[in-house]
Amino acid sequence: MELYTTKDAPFKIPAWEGQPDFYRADLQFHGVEHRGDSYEGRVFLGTTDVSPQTPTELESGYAGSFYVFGHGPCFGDEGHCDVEAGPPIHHYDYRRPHPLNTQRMTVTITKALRRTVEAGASAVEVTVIPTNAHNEEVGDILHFKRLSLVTYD
Amino acid sequence: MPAPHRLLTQSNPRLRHRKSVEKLRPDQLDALREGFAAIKPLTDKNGFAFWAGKHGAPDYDCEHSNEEVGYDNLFLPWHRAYLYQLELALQTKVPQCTLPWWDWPASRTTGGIPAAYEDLEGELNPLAGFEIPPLPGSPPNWPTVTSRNPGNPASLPEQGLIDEIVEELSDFDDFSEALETRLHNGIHGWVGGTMKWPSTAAYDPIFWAHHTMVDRIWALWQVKHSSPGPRPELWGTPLKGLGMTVGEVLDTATLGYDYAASTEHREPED
Repeated sequence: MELYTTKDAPFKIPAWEGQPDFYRADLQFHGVEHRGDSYEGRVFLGTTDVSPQTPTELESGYAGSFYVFGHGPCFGDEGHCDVEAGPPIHHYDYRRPHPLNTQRMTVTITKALRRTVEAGASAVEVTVIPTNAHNEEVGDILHFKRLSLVTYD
Repeated sequence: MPAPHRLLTQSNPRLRHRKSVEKLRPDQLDALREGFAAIKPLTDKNGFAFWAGKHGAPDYDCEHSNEEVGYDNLFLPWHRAYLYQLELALQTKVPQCTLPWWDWPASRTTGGIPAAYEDLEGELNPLAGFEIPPLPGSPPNWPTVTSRNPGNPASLPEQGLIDEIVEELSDFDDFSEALETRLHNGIHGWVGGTMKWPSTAAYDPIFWAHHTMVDRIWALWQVKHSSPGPRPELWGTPLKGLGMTVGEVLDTATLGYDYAASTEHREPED
């Protein structure tokens, strides 16, 4: 996807009244594909109006970035990049897993989330825009299975 | 846990120091260039292409994070062993050669790619690129030479982000993932060209300076947190294609090197 947003299902911000404040907050992207090109996933909170030119500053809602080291073209034989073809091919296959299994990306968003909480929000939208090193959009490249907001106190 | 390799049971009394590429003396930079120039034409196990091909095509032995159930991330140990092996290949030809690290934050204000790795006017710089040998089967689109397409130097990581990752992430797995996905991966993409794909990245000499910086950051984390990192249960795990185990690469001193800002030596005269 070119841009991902939780606009229609924002994360509820935990109620902290009477509880210790969180000292760290992470966004965890699970099941991130890395078959294509390398790219940066820029994460913004509280706004969907973002582009590669949006300043990467707290005041613009920028929360942090993760970077995908994309596999690029397949230079192997047929099936080389087929994760389903293993390993493991059976229970006794002890080889290392296929390099193209999905990855987890974590972005620590403590400052940006705290800023949102202090502004009185009860929920927060997360928007991710993939860009390349030349500050350009990179198209349909961001694919993952689940996004989690994890806070630590 | 298996016993460590016999050569790795005690520290080398004469550690070699890896230094910032920006702070190499002329003779140290000459030795680095001489080393790369010497191993580039080789086609045996001391050859540059032999080692570059272990990370990417054709061997694909490299370790990066992976969500496979039960998988342990060997990104940092694998790449430490990998640097060690390439450095030995260099030292076989030029004994005083050590791998320098690329100080990414410093490059924010010095033009990006370190000057030592750029093309030289009027002469060949062995650190500027590499003619990649053909692959078996001659796959289409396989590059014949390394390339770069770097981004804006100002978008390289700030020192504050490195410090934050080293100081605040006391859990090794958290640290390793952050170092890989918030710093390491971004530099591969920033350099672009053949550095942006695992298949071809290690064929570019700058890959080795980049990963020496990654290794240095792990070494800083080890000192800061008084911990080697990976759990003891993993120490006997072999590092694919490198003939070493996780436990053998936890201490840089047993591999004969340390990191230093600069070095200068005096030998007493007889």
